[in-house]
Amino acid sequence: MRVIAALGWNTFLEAIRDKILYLLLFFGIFLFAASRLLAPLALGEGRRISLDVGLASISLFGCLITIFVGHQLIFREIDQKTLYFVFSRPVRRVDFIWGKFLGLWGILAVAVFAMGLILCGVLAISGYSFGWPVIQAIGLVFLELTVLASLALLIASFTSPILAGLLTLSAYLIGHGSGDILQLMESLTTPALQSVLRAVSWIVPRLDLYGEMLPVLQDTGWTAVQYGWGIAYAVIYATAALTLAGVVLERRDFHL
Amino acid sequence: MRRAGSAGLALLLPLAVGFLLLGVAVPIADGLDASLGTATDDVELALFPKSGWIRPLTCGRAELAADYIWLRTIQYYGAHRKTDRQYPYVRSLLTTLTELDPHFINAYVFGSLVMTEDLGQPGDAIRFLEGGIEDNPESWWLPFEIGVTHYIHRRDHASAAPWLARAADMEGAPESTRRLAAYAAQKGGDEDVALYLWLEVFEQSEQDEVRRVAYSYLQKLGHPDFLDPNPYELEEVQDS
Amino acid sequence: MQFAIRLKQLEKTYSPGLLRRPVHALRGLDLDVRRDELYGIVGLNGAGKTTAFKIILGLLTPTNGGGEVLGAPLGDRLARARLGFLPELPAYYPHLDGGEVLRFARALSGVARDDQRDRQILESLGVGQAYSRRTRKLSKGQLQRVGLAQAIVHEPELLILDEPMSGLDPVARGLVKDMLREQRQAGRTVVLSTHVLTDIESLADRVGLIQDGALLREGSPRELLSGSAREVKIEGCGVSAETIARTLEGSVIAAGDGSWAVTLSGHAALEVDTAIRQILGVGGEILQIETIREDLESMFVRSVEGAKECA
Repeated sequence: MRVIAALGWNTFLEAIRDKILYLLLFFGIFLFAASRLLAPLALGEGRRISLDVGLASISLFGCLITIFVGHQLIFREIDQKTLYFVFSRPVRRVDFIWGKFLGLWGILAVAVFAMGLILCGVLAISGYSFGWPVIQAIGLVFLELTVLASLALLIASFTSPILAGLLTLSAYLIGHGSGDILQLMESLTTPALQSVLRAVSWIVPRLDLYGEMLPVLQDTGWTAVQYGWGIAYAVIYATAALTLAGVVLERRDFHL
Repeated sequence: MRRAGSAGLALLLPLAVGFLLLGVAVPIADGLDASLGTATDDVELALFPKSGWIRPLTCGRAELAADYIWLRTIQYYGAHRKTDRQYPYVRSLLTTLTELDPHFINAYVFGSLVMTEDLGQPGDAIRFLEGGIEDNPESWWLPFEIGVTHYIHRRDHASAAPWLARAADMEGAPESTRRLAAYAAQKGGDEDVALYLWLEVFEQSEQDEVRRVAYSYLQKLGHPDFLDPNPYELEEVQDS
Repeated sequence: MQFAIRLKQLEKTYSPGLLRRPVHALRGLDLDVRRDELYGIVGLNGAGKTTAFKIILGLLTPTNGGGEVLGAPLGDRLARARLGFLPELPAYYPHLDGGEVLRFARALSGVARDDQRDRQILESLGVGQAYSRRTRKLSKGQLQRVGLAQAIVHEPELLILDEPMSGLDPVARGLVKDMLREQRQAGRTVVLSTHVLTDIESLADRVGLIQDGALLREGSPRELLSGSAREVKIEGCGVSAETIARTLEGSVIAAGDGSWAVTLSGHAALEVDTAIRQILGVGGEILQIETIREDLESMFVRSVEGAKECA
């Protein structure tokens, strides 16, 4: 655990000192501007628009952080040859993966927390209510990004950074359309195509589940059971992805 | 000094050239835009895609697309309200919007208002609202609007009363909904329903003025518990 | 445990891709490093030294063959806890300072934090200032020494150092040599590869020459250099330098005071007796005979070129 924590802290520090979180500045400016400009045009739906734009932006910016940081987590160690430093020591490859994930997860936690604060601030300044359901929704975005981060690491364990970035972005886009894939599957008549889509729907994470906004807008929130299932899905998917990444890394030769 | 001066010029000159070029580029772009001919709003809206095409492109953020369509719809309505007061595309826009986000209550309400007030089609408005109720059974506002549409635009008090009564029973409905339902029932000739509703108004209201009105209607309708003179009116007499 | 490293018929073949020939980085490398010795590995670029190190660390899997490191299979994780490695091009996280690198090294090695000791190690290597300076701001030589520090910070039993003298000025090289001698005296096994053969001559207990992925020659520096006198210098007088030049194969230098010096090399250096008889035969007097042994570098170059000729 100490090894994983040390690797995680190093990854976290690397991203922080890389000034990736300056992205949050753009987020804050963007959200404030969007809210102030659009709300007067929205005929009483300013809160809805601010929330929708805010939560979607947290998700998108979080995705960008996952891609910018995640896609090179392993490649950079190979390119800079710092992998010598790590694997000349008694570090398991799976511990390495978990450590990298922990660092990325930490960055996302800080980013989502900060963006969530900004969103609540914008809502408060605009005179809109925000209760526990909004906090829950921000938490759901964090769970969504947890799933995405684990998938990003799995992809990074066996591809180049550019491909990893593209595949992660694709997973984000397709993952949000998972519900549509399932619907499409039902309307297909060819069993082979149905099987293919079913396989895709199992691999691609169900990010769409974390984007259910109605409980937020109606201020009813997710039930404890629903939230529990949401957390369970994120934990299980992330564990599965990181385990697979560990297996991939275990079999990989490092040509430094 | 000469060195500082030449260094300043070395900085200012490219800056000036850069801005000058930008100043030339902008009118070029404007001219090109004009020559290409931008589609009018109406042409663009006539070709506005259906929700089935938009949804896959939203990557799970259909409500964001609905928000965008909402803003476009408001602008479209506002622009035409100032000019020709013709809104041929408002229905299709709102239909697409509510298909993308079936829980956009305000869109149903706004749509029904436009259809009744501007397009003079209360029947379409009621069908639009009924569609909204299917996806939002817990919303009091939609049955309320149906009731109001029947009551005001169709003058069909008998049809209005049950919708208003339904809305009045739902969480969040203002107190006045029940009174409106009672009025509608009474005007529609359904005295039993009217009695029931006025009794509820009387029992639930905390305002004396409202209880006075309810008492008087209950008295007129002959409710056995309300045969005595209206105590609220008596109090007013005593006060005066 | 007699051996720190044992490599048996180690082979590594890379397949760069379709339509490209496979690269044989190691071709049956046999190499044994005894405990407590300082073993030098010498080889041209691409000889296979670094590939062998990577296999020992478990970064690469051998195509064939195998071996042991500290009694465990190659790449064994627990064995890695007992070894320290310095790569050829030391690279450490640019966002960390030297102290953080050593703390990180301790954490990954499962060793307790000891900031004071870390500082001492860096100071002993002449880079105390690197403790609180980001590694991206260090010079190559400073980075090299930070690299040495991270290799020894957890007091490993075995040190594997790839080009430890690279990028160091003479003073720093002296410090590093002192450090290596200390490690050796402390009972640690040290394996180092280098192109600076004079360093190996003075430090190593044994030297292995690697060429084309296999061990070419092995032995102590003395063993490798014995019987390899390749130049003999004879100083004399009594006859003119021109006479000597006509008599012998070799370069003759006239000293100006009637004496001369002739240097015999190659095959002629092996026929010293014949040369002496010839000099005496033309009336010369021999003042001094000096045998100039080749150094390890010359021996290395000769061995490699010889191996190429044989190939």
